[in-house]
Amino acid sequence: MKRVEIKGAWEKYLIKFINQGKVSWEEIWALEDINLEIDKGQTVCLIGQNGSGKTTLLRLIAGMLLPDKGEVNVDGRVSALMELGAGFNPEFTGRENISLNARMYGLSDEALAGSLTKIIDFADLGKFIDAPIKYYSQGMFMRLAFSLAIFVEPDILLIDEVLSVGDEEARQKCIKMIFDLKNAGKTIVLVTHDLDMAVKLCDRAILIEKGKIIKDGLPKKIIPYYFETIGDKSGVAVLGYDKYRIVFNNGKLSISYEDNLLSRGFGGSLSFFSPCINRWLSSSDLSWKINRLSENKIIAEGSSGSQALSQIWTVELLENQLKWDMELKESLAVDPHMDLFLSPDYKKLFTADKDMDIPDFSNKSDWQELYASRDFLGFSAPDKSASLPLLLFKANDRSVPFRAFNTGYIQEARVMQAHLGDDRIFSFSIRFFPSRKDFEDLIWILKEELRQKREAEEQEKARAQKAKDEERILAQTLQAGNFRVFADVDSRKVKIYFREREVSSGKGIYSDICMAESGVWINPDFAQWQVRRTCPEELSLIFVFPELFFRQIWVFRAVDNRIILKVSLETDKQFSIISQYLRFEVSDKFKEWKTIYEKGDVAAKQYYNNIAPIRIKDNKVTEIILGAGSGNEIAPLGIRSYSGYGTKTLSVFKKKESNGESICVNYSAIIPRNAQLISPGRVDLFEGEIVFSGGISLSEPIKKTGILKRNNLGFIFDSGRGKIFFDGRELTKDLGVYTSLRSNGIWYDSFQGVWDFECLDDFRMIARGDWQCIPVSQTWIIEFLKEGCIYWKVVMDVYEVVDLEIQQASVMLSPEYKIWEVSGIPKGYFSQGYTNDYDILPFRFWNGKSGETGLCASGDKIPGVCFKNIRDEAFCNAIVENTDSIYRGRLLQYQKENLHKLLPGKYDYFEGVIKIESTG
Amino acid sequence: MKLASFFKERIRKLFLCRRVFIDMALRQFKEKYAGSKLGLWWAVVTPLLFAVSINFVFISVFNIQMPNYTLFVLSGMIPWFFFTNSLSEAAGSFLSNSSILRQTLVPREFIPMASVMASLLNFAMGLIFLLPFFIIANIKVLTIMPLLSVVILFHFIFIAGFALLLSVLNVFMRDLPHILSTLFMVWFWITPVFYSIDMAPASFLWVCFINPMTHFVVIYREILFQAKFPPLGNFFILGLLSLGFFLISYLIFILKEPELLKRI
Repeated sequence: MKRVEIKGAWEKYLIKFINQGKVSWEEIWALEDINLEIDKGQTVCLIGQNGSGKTTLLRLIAGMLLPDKGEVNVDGRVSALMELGAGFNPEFTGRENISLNARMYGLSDEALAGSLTKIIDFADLGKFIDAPIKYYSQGMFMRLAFSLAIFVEPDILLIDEVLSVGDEEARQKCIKMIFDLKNAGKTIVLVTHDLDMAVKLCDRAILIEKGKIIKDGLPKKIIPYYFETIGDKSGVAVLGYDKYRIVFNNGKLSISYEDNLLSRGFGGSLSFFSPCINRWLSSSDLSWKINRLSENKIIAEGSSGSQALSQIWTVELLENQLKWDMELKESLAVDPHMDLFLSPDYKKLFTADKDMDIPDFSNKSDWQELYASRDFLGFSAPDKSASLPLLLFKANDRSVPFRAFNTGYIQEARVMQAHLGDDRIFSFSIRFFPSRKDFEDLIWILKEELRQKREAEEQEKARAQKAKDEERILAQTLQAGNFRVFADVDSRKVKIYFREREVSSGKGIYSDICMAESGVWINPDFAQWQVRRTCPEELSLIFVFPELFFRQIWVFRAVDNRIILKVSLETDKQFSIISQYLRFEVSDKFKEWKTIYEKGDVAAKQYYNNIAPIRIKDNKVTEIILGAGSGNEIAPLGIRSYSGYGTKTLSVFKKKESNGESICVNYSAIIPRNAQLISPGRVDLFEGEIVFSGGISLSEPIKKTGILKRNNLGFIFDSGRGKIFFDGRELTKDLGVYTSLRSNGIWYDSFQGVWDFECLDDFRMIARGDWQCIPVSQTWIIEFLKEGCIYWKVVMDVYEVVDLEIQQASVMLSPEYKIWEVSGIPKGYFSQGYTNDYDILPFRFWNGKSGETGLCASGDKIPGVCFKNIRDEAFCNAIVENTDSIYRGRLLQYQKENLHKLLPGKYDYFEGVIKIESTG
Repeated sequence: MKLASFFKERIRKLFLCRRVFIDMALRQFKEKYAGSKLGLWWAVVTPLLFAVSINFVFISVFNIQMPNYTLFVLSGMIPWFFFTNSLSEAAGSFLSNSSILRQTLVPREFIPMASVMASLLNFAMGLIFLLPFFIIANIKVLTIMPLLSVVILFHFIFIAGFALLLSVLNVFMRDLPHILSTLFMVWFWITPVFYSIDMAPASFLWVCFINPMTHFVVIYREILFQAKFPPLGNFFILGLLSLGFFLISYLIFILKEPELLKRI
C-alpha cells in the first residue's frame, strides 16, 4: 500500500534578485520531474546538499506546497515537524496550543483528551505547559512541537532536521520515539545530515541533487554517493577500482565496496589541536584543492582560513589496496592524528600480539580503547556479511602504533586511530581482502616478520650494548701484554684480568689509610672515582673524598709486559696517618706463593673473622710470586714493591668472600713511631709493579756473606743471621744466630737489615747493619775464641730518640736437639710438637734470670750447644723454647724488656758466647 | 470529470475540517481582544462612540433636520464597519497566519474566511447591543428580524468572497493594505451612509448603483431604520450576485494557491 505517490512533479520558485537597485525575476526549478513512491511503514531519509530540494520535496509531501506540474498523492494523516513554531501562537499557553493544533490535525476531542497527558508528559515542560509559549526556550519549543507531531497519531511523519535543536538528552529521547514510531509501522520521511542516524534508522535513502533524485536505495549504499555531492565541488574526488570506491570530500575520505559503506560518519580525517586558535581543527574544516594525477591517484591540498597550506594528502587506490599519505604543514599542531570510522559490522580485531573479538558498545558517547598495536591492525567482519572486505592497516615505511576504539553506542562505529610522527608525515596503506584466507595468511606472515624483526632488534640492541660496554671498559682499562687492569667504576673495584679472565677477586686492588686524629679508615669505597686516560700507556685513577681534604691518586703505567702502579696521596692540609696498606686481592686459583727466602702453599685452615693468615717467615720482603700450580693456564703473578727492603710488611692471607675465597697480598707500610705525618702536597704511598709471566724470577737479595772457620767449626754470616757448622753439619736452623727488637709494637729482626762488613778474616768479623724504618743500627762482633767457642757481641747505635720495648738475642737450633739444660743441669726434653698459632707465644720451656747460667741443648750424635750471656744484667731473661711450626726449631734466647726511650748514643746490646761441646 | 473529483475532494476536506474552521474563527476572535482591558465591549463601544460623535457633528453643528438621524447613520454604519473591518483584517491574513498556512491538512481558504467569520462575530456582538435602540425607535423592526439574518448571510458571502480575493492579491501585492485604507475612504463617501440615496444628485446615482455596498446599506437601512420589507426581487438578485462573486473569488484562489504557497 502506498502512502505517498509522486508522479512527475515539478516545482519552481520565482526568485527576486536585486542587484544595485535593478530588480529581476528568475525562475528556479527546485524540483524537476520527481517520481517517488513510498510504501506504508517505510522509513525514508532524504539526503543531499543544502539547497538540493529536500525540504521542498518534504513540503510537497506535506501538502505545504503544490506541484507546478505533476501529481502528489498522499494517503493518510500527515504530521510534519518542520520549521519550529509553525502553527503555534506565541500568545497562547502550551496547553491551548496543543488543543488548537490537535484540532488542526483533525483530532477529535475524545482522541485529544486521551493523548493530552501523553503529549504533556513527553514534552516534559513542567508548569511551563500553562505559560504562553513565547516564554519557551528553543528546546522546550522543540519538545512541544515534536510531542504534538507524534501524538496526533499521524500515518505519515515528516521530519525536517529539527532534531538538532535542544540538548542531547532531549534529542536522544526524540530519536528513541522515532524508532518507536517506525516499529509501530508508521511511515516516516526525514531530512537529515546525520548519516549515522540515517543508517541506523532508515530502510531507504533518497539522494537528491539539484532538484533531482540521483540515487534511491539502502542508506549504506547511498551514502557514498552523498559524499560526492556535498561540499565544495572542487574538493571532491572519486576513485574507483574494481568494486571499490573511495570518495575524497573536502578532508574526509569514505570507502565503499560493492556499494556498501565500510566507513562511517566522517570516514577518515586528520585532526590536530591548534594552539593559535585554541581549538581542535579537523581536516574537514579546511578548504581543499585536488590535483588528479591519474584515474586512481589524487593529491589534495588543504588550506586553512588564512590560505596557508595546512596539509597534503596523497590517495591512491590500487588493486585491493588504498595508499594514503598525509603531510601536515602546520608548524604549530599538537597531537596530530588521523581517525577512520568504520562500520560496526566489523567484529574482530587482529593485532601483532593478539586477535580479539570487539566488544559491544558500552559507553554512551565516550570512546573505549580496544587495543593499541604497533605495526599493523586488521579488522574482520563475520563471514555472513561477505560484502565487507577484511581490512589491514599498515604503515608504509616504519612502524607506527595503530589504536582501535569503539565509539559510544550513539555513534556506533569502530575507529582506527594513528598518530603522526614528529616529522608530521604519515604514510600507510589499507589493504582489502575479499577472502578470509588471504587475510589470515598475510596476518600470519606479518606476525612472523614482526617477530623476526623484533628478535633482530633485540640482538642488535644487545650487540650495541656490548660494544658500548666494551668501549667503556676499554676506556677504563690498561693492557700490558697478556693481562690488563680494569677500573670498574660501577662496582667500585680495580680488577685484574689475565687473558680475559678475571683473576682479581674480592675488592681487587685496594688501599686503606687510617687517620690518626679520628682513627677512621679511608678507602676507595667512600670515594668518588674519576678515571682519566692521560695517554695510551697510562691510566689514572683519582679517588676524591668529598668531605676530606685529600685525594688518592693511582697511576697505572704499562711498561713492556708489566704494569707499574704508583699510589700517592695529595693533601691540602697536614695530617697524620697511623696505618696504610695496599692490598691485591686475587682469585683462590692461586695455590702457591714464593718469596726470595721461602715458598709455600695457601692451604690455611684456621680462620679468625673469615681471615686465615698464611705465615711468612720473612715478611719484610718486597716481592712475591703467586702461582696457580701446574695444569692451570694462569701464569704466575708477580707483585713487587719498589720501596726499600724493610719499609713494608708483606702479609698473605685468605679471606672468605660470599662467593669463594680471595688470596690477599697485603703491603702495609711500616710506620715507626705510631704515626706518620703527611705534609701538604703529594706523598707517595706505594710504588710497585704487577706482572704475569711463567719465567718470572725473584731478584736476588743483596747478601753480605762472611765465613769464619777454625778446625771443624764453621760460622757463616748471612745478612743478619749466622749459621754454625760443625764437621760440615749445620747445628742451627733457619734464622740461626739473630737479634730482634721491638719498637712501637713492630719487630725489627737483624736479617731484615742491610749489612756490611767492617772487618772480616778467618777468625773474626765485624759487621754493621741498618734498618730503614728505625734510626738504629747494630754492629756485630764475632770471634772464634778457643776450641769450640764463638764470641758474639752486639753494639747498638741510636741516632734519634727511639722507643724500644724488647731486645732479643737468639740462637735457633736444629730440632735434633732433644734435651735442654740450664747451667749444666739437665732440665728436660724438648717437645716434639710445634704450635701453629701465629703471633701467640710458642712452646716455652723455661724463662728465668740469666746470670752466669748459660742455656744448653744436647741431642744424640750431635754436638751440644751452650749459649751464655757473659754480662751480668739484672733485667735480662733467659728463655728456652720451641719455635712455632714454620721454623720447627729449638730456641735459646736472651731478652731484655721494658726498655723505654733511648737517647741517641752507643749502647751495648748483647755480649755472649756460644760454646760447641763435641761429644767426641 | 477530473475537475469534478477535485472539487468533490476539496469539499470533502472542507467538511472534514469544519471544526477547525470554527476553532480558527473563535481563536481569531479571541486573539483580537486577547490582552485588552475592555475585551468584547469594544464591539459595542466603537459604533456607540461613533454614533455619539455623529450626533454632535450633524445635529448640533450642521443642524440637520431629520428625525432619528443618529439611528439613520448608525443603520448604515454597522454594515459598513463589518465590511471594512473584515476586509482590512482578512487581506493580510495569509501573511499574518503564515504559520498556519504551513500546517498540513487545514484548507488554506479557511484562513481569510475564518478572519471574516471572526469579524462577523464581532459584528453580531455590536448588533446585539445596538439592536434595542432600533427596536425602541420602531417596534416593527422585531417583525422583520428573520430577514435581517438572511441579509447578514448574503453580506457575509459577499465579504468572504471579497476577502479571499484581497488576501490572495495581498500575497502578490504587499502594499495592498495601504491602497485599501485609501480606497475605503473614497468608497465610504460614495456609499450612502450619511445620506440617503434620494439626497444624491441624479448625475451621481450611477456611481451609487454600481457600488455593491450601496445595496447592502440600503437593505440594512430599510430593515433596521424603516422597518419595511425590501423588494424581494432586488433582494435575491443581491444574494445571487454575492454568491457568484464568492465563487469566482474562490476559483481565483484555487488557481493561485500553488504559487501563493511559494510566496509565503
